[in-house]
Amino acid sequence: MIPPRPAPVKAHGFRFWLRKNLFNGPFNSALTLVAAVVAAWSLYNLGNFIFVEGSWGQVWRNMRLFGVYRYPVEHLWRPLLALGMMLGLMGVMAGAAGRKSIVAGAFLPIQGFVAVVSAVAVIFWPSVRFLWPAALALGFIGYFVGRRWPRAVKYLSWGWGAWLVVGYLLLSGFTAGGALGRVPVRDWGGFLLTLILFTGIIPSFPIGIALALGRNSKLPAIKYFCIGFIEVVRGAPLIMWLFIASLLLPLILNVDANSLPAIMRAYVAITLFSAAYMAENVRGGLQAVPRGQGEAARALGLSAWQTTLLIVLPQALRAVIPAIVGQAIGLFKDTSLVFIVGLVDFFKVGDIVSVQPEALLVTGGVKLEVFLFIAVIYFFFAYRMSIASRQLEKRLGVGER
Amino acid sequence: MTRYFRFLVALALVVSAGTVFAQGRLQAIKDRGELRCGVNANLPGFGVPDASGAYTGFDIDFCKAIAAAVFGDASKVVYRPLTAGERPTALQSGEIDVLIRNTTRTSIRETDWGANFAPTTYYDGQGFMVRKDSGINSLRDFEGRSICVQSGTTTETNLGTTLAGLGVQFTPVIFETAPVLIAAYDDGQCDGWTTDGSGLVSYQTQLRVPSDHKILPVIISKEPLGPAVLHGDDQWYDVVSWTIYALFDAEEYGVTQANVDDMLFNAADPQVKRLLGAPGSESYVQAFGLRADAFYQAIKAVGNYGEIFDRNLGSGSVFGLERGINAQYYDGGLIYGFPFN
Amino acid sequence: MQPGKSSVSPSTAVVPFWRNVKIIGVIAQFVFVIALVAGIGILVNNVVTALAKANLPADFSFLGKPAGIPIAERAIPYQVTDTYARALVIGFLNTLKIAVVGVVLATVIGVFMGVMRLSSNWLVRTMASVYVEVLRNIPLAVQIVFWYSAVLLPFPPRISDPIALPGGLIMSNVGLAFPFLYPTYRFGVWVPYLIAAAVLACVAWWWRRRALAKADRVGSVWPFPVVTFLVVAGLGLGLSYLGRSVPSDLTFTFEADRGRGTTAFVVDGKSRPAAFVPVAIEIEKASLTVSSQNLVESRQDVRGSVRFPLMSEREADAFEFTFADAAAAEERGLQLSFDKYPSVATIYVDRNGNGKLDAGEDVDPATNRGYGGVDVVMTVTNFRRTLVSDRDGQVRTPTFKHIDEAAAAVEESAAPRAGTRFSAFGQAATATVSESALTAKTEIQPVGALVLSRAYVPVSNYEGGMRLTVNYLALLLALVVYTSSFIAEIVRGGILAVPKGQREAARAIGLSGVQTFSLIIFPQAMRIVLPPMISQYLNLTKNSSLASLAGYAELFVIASVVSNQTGAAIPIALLLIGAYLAISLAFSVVLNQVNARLALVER
Repeated sequence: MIPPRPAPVKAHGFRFWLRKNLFNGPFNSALTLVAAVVAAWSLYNLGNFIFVEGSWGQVWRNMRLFGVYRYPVEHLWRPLLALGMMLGLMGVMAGAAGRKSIVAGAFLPIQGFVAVVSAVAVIFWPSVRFLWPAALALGFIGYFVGRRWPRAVKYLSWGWGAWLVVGYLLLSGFTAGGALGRVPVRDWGGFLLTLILFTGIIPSFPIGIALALGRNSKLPAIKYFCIGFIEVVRGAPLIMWLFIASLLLPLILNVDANSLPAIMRAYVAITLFSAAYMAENVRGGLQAVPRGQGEAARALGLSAWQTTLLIVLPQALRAVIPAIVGQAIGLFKDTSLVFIVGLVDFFKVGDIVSVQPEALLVTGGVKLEVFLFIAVIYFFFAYRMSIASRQLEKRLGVGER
Repeated sequence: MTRYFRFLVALALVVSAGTVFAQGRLQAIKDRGELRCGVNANLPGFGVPDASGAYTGFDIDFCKAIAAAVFGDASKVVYRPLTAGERPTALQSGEIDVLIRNTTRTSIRETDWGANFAPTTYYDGQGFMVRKDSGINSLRDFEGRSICVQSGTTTETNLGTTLAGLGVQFTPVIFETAPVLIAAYDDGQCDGWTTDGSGLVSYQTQLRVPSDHKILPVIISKEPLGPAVLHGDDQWYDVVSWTIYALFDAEEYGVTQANVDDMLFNAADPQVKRLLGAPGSESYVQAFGLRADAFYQAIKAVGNYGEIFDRNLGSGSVFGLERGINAQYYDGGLIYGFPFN
Repeated sequence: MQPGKSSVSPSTAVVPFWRNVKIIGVIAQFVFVIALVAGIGILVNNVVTALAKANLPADFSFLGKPAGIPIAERAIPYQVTDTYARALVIGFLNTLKIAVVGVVLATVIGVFMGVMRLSSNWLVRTMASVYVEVLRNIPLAVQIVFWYSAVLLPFPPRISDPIALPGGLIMSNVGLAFPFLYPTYRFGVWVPYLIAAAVLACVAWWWRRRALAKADRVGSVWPFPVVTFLVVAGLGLGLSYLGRSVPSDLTFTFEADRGRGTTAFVVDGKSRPAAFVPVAIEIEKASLTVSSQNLVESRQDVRGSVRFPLMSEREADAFEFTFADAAAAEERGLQLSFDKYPSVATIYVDRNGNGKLDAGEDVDPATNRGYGGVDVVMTVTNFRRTLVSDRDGQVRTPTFKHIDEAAAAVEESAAPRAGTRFSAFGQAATATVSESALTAKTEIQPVGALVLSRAYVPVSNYEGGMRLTVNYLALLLALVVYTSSFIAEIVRGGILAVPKGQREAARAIGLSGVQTFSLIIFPQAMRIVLPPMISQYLNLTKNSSLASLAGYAELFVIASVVSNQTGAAIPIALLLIGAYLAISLAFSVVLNQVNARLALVER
């Protein structure tokens, strides 16, 4: 028998950690000092600006513009109901997947964000005092429904589809002078608009898959059309497609410019642009599926369509989920480009807020404050998504081959 | 479906009346129940949303006045924010009923755009702002200096051609949007900047020390700004034009937002009576296809021209702009309301 | 399988033509193409009718019309009267200018940050992670606005008192300028030598390789061709400076009172601007009047400062500074304090009588602001400056006045001016200016193949040298920083992907940590990293289309201005798509080459 080894030297504790991570050698010590100076300087300046120099009144006063732009106050329950439904659906997903799942990891911080806003609303914003907590509650109800009846997930894709339709009807109102009262799309803006444009990723899914399959097709006409579409769209920047869509879409479709509001034009451009990228992601997944899978399916007597839809696609999509989340982050950030077609999204509201007469009275302007606020909000959501993407990557073992 | 139904009903009505005439825009607006007004959403003083999201400004008040004249309710306006480039399409496609977006009346716009301009509501001209202590007193002093200018506007080409004509060589610094331009000028990126005089004034307040800057006593273009409607609908054009004249006249005859109720019944001046459609003089306003109290409602909603000016641009605003050339004719300005007769 | 024959044989299943995959395929394609053609036809027809209705141009004839767009930043000569086509070309060149520089910088910073993220130092690693995570999760548009409006405009000092860095660099809130070597009209003399140098370098390379192979030993090859090239090219450059003289058709006209001149070749009475010609300008006696200003600079108050165009002491025998209204200045007790001889001064009142500027003495107690609006006159004798004309053949000096003239001008400005802001329309924009008495002696300098152009500030903008506007710098910074955060992730992934055994083996054979990284790990990581990196380069190029947020005149910005002015939306859209496709095609050619190379190496 081998005699027991002596216990290892104590290798933890603060000082050991310091020596190991910060001061293991003269070079690293010097590096640590330089980095510490840079970090302290940056943090000091940032803190000084946020807590001392900044004048945040203008941002605070305009929270409504940042949130929904000109959406009428008396109808605010509608976007918030749509938000609550979204949170509820996400809650069901998260609840069904379990507390420690990736979905829940994404859902709970968002609930936290909504909870903070709700608390602020209860105290400061009488018009939405009960609406924000209600949206929060819907999220939790969804979560508990998911925990209790995990099988509800099965119907979730129907739920999301219904949510898109109901959400649109809710936001726009049904008819002129109808029960809800119509809110014209041109009054939609702020973060609401950013989220609406972000949903462009949902319709881009089927289009992208169709394009990817088309690109792999053996029929040259379809194949080259898909290749041409994908490459041309990906070759030019989104801002250019938005510009072209806003100028030309009414001409191309030969419709009255009035019946095709700017938001629709932007939505079409964003969806098609996103679809082209989606197609490339899906194609990557299709290539990753072993040939044997398809051949085995054919051997079992499945038709070509069945093979694609039931065997190949599910595997391909599973492999590219992280890439798709990455693309979603990109799209979320890219929605800020709709300023070019005159839409007032979250980013553009910043411009308006910094030229209001009240802003003009602040010496030196409030640009820095306004855009810092905007950056923080964008960062919160994009960073949350990127964490989810990384977790997915790990779970699927994509990065570890 | 309802549209078709409505169309059928309308068709039946027209046929049964035995006369065929195109439905005028005024009627279309009345049927629709809202006025569509093309505006600027980003020019302080002329049109910008406030913290509650409601548009406010000089141009906005004229939209309200027209809506009040048509519906008796100034809130029945749908604002369509337009960029400079979107204006002709929006007007031509019928997307908007009236364009009130600090638009200069020019021959090209009357012909190419097919726009009919109502009376000028603001006489403007392209000017220059410089620092008081910059040593620049005339356009010639811009030699070798830089001038900030907004891209894609007539301002840009005016600047280029005027200074080229003087033989002055300068560095243009181009900006897409005015707010960025102002910040850059204030930070000394250029020695001067140019835009319409109204814009100069409206943005001067945004500078760190507004009193350190001056507007050069030089105007290199005439920029009469006013509402525009599409060619070919005289009735609608008359409504827009005379709503403006009514506001001009109201100032001249001392009718204000505060005393208009009193004036309606107690005014002795026949001009005022006709303007307000007071009992006995209804026909003067009704002839436009409007209700008798149309202009009364307009004044009630936004006040007379002088009040609109003061509230948005003049002493009642952060801009504190002088009336100058936009004063009434009897004060040496160019504002001249035509008589109701 | 042939359908006709198979129907004869009973053993194989009969495949009717409507179930034959090939035929279905052909039919499907046929239907698809017809639908596509019909669809496109309808859409095109829609567009054409709509354009005709709106009276908008649908062809490219507008390209030949004068543009009237002032563009400050350009790589080729351009005037307001030039055509739309030229304006668009300038936009395209500007796109390339930002893309090329951006790609290089983003790579450097991105690789640095990627390596830092794997540092063994916790603090460095964490800071690099924060850098990457923050920057890649904030929209680029927000970042551009941040760099431009919140950093680069307010923080650097004004152009009138720029930071002069060593090496001739000048930085201010107008941008950055630095000395630059430009090819002159005599560049052609050098070209044969350059060709010869290139050929000889190839020969040297080939010879050295052969010699090494013959001797069967290891040695470095590259110093031979490089030295050969440098020697021959240098010789040619040196020779181009010999026997130089000023061509007889090269002229220089100088308007002393406007402070500007033009170098041009005049052939048969027609003049063509001559780029990059050095000229010497000498002014015997002149003066310059400047008012003192109270400014907010780098977010600080700068009070009562007087700035004269940036000069070196060498240029003049004597500067003399006086108050324009000496009596009034004496009465108020005003003094001048030169803190940066001879270009910047502060006006103050020596309240404690120690003869120098102390804190607080530059503030007027009456107004609580500086002594602004006080005119100071600088008198120069024997001003001499050698300048290099720019791409358009322009040179500029400070706008001096003749001494008597300056005095008259001061008197005039002291008199009250009539008229208010909008006193009258049609007011004469041309003020009558008396004939100037100021004269200058000028001389064109002979030049070799290259000329060093230094940056300087004659009035209130850079002249000479290479100039980068603050708009360009802001866009560049945003693009570089944003893209570098993605590149850092790619590099990190690439390094992690190199098998652990490689590092262990390298350490085992005795390589140091740095050697292991630079010789073993990094080259292998590069192979994994290059393809995604190239697609980031393409992204950077496409993202430069957000230039309008920083006011940089890039292709998309100019195209949208042209579209606004002419209404030619469709032709412009086609041009834009074509231009961007050309760029992305170029990138994918490079990408394919790289992929092919890497694949070869792998096998």
